Amino acid sequence: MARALCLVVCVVAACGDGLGPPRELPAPRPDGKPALRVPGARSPRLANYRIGVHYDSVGHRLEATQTLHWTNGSGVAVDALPFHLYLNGFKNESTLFMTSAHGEHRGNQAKDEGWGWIDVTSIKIGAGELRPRATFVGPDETVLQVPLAEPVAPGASIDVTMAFTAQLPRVMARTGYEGAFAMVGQWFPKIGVLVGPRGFERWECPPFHVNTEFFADFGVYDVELTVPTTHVVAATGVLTAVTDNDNHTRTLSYHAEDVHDFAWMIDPYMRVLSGTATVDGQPVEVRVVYRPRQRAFAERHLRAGIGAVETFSRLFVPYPWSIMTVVDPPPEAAGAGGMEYPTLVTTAADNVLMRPGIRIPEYVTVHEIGHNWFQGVLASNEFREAWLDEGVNSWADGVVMDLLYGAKASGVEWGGWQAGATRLQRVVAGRLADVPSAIATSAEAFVDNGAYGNATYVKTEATLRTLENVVGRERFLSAMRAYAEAWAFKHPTGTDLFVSLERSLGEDLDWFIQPAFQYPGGVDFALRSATCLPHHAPRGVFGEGSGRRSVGVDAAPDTGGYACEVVIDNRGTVPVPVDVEVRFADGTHERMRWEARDGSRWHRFSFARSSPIAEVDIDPDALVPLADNTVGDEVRMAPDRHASWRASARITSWTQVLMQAVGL
Amino acid sequence: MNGLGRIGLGDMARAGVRGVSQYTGTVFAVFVVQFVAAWLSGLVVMFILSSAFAGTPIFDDAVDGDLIALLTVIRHAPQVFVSIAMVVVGAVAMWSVWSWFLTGGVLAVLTERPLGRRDTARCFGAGGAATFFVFARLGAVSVVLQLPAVFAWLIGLGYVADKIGSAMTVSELVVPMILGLTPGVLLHLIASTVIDYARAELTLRRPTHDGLGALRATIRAIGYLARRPVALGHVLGYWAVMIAIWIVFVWLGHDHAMLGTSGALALFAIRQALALVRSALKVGLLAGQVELTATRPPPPRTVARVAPSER
Repeated sequence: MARALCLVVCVVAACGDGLGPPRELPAPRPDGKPALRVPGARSPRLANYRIGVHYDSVGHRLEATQTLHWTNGSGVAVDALPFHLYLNGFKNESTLFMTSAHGEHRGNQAKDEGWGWIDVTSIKIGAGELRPRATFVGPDETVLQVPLAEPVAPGASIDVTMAFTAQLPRVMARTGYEGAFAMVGQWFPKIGVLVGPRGFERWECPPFHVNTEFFADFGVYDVELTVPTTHVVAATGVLTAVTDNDNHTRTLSYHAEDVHDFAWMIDPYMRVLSGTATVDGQPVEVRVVYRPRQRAFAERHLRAGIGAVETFSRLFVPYPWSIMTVVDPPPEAAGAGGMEYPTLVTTAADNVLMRPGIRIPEYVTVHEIGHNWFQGVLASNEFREAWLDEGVNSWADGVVMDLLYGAKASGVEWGGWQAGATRLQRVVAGRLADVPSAIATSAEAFVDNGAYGNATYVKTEATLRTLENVVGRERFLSAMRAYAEAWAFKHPTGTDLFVSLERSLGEDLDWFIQPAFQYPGGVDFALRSATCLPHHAPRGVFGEGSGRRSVGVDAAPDTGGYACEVVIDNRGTVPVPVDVEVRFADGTHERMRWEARDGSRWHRFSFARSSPIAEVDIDPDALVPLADNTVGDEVRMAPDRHASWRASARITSWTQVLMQAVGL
Repeated sequence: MNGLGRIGLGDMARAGVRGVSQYTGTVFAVFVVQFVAAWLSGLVVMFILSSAFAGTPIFDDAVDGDLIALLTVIRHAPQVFVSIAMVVVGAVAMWSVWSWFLTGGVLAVLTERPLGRRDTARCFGAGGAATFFVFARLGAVSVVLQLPAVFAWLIGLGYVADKIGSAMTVSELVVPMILGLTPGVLLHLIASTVIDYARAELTLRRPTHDGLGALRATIRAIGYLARRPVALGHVLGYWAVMIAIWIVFVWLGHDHAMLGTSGALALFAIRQALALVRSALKVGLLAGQVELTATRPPPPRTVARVAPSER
């Protein structure tokens, strides 16, 4: 018995997760595609990187050199260059990232044994070594400022060569390793961005905070990754060359154009599932990189990915690159999931509970791919206006999900249940007016990560969806397309979006945009009163002197009709036009509209009917997703307990089952 | 051998069928009491729901299968649903106390096998009343007996929760659930069966063994179960049938949402029929346990010493 048990234990231990030791893999073939689907520079290409890196798959360490060819696109001379060293955010518990995250990101905890860091050992411009003069600025070591011997004049370029060693953290937020898997993002010294009016630009290179994502100039990336021959790699851009080395390593050369970041994944067990999306009549290869046990989910991600690339391209601007790669991290590396990089995203939510029809995995893929438009192509400043990426993308995801899966079932279509993705997300988020900051708030200025998430993702999505419903879907989509076309590769601001929308729609939206985006608060409709009095000619005493006469019930009998009045108010801060449907006891109904664009806080509807009011329904078509407290928006005049009886019947049956389980 | 005939699973099952068919009135009475108890709590639930939602039509949509409406209502008034949960927990707790009396009554009827409705009712009432307090003490003992099951459950749930997070396929979900939860389930079944047999012996020996207390009956039941695993097989068979009924119900109900008033009425009727069947099965289980207990050697009796003056 003991021997048999020992054998079982040994077999289980040897098998581990069933993947076995890494095996030598044949060299991958170069993609044989241009980086851009249609060649030609789309952006000014201010920050161009040439990086060579050796990856140590045991210690998850990178030894690298990089040359940055940077052009000063601003109107001011520059005498110092700031670089993001994002990996230093994972260096210890006292970094701004760790303190602002409280050691946790999206439920993934930082681990004591898995700190990450980056050590820049050399910085050269020409022959001069600048590293000793470089200093960290800010509260931690995530921004390195390099003073220049000579200023870089407007329009001039400079080559900065750096050598660095980077230790990946155990993954808890986007980048790092878990087991043999590693997602390598924000891993190289990355120059800041000059922002501001021409001639008054300043560096945008804040320290790494949990709420701030990433913002950089566009450029061309040529990256040579030297990795073990046992490992599969997926990366930004296209694979242009493969060289097998003598020491069981392989050098993979990647090339990407008009991107502002370069990320890659490495893992010995990954496989690739590939499909084709059609954009402007040309193929875009969509790849899902997955471990074998996630095959079923990989197929779902691929279908969603192809649909997303095609639909986003149709709605906004055509996907400019040749390949879109979706990395499906193993569940133990969940911290790497749900992140966007140019031409490469990581998805998430693979779990047995996500049955086909529960479209959360699909939603994650659509969302991350959608970033390739709002973060990848438009590339707004995510430090200061994160909503322009996350929020606008979330709104667009809702549109795309509805187009791909049907508006009523884009979130859930399982076990008889149906729910649209946008509505599901909205109801789960709860009250939006409670977020104590405006949508247009700098990412690090939110009170906490929850407030950042609710305002930046959900509230922005609900606000844009509300505006879309006010102006009409087709008009709004057309306006958003015009915005995307006008501002592609130009880092638009919120003001640029608003001006573009107003221009395209041909109307002033200030009445909505100001309170909705610039101030905290929201929409909270309520029925203030609904009354119906029997209608009759006026009764009372009329005239004076000899002409005075009294009109009573006999002279002015009830006509059988009713004089009705409905008063609704908006207890929130954002005015929104809304429909009100009044249903009457005789089964008829009437729809009215409160325009509210003048900023009025309440509205009275008066009308005569032959039947008293039975129900009042504010926003009957749920066209104001920004509204909170929607339970009270539909009110019945006389209570109806039928549903309560039905619900209690079900609950009682379950109670009975429990009673039988614990007693007789 | 104790001299009494050893009976098998078939005999116990037949005793169950016999008990249920002979005392259909008792089965039905137990069901009705349970029905009334459950529906008293249901009435409270109805009042809570109607006071919160009678004026909001979105609740109607929620009850009739609109997921968004359901989530909206829950988010709007979570305290209403917490109150309902408390009512349900209270009703179940109350029922477990009532069950001490009802189980005593049923066991008395199955043991003494009275004839006629009146005698059966008298026997039921007298038996329930006579054993109520000793069953209450047995309830306290059962809490201790269930502790290993609770610990096993806690450990098993931790293991399952760990596995569910990374499960990709149904088998990756089901196998850890079986591995993680089975020990707790088995320990719970063993503890429950021990208590069942302690109850049966306390009822059976009541006329002759006044001194047989809850603790002693429990200890004897543990020893007996160790010698006669058929008792455990019998309980497992009972649960197998219960689960089979549940599976049939789920299978038949598949794709039948049973919404609206007619759906609710149909569902109500089906569920009550099922509850009646489950009550009958439970009485049948008790009858089988009484049958087996009757074959057990009685506990040793203490002979009362008679004072010389009374001779």
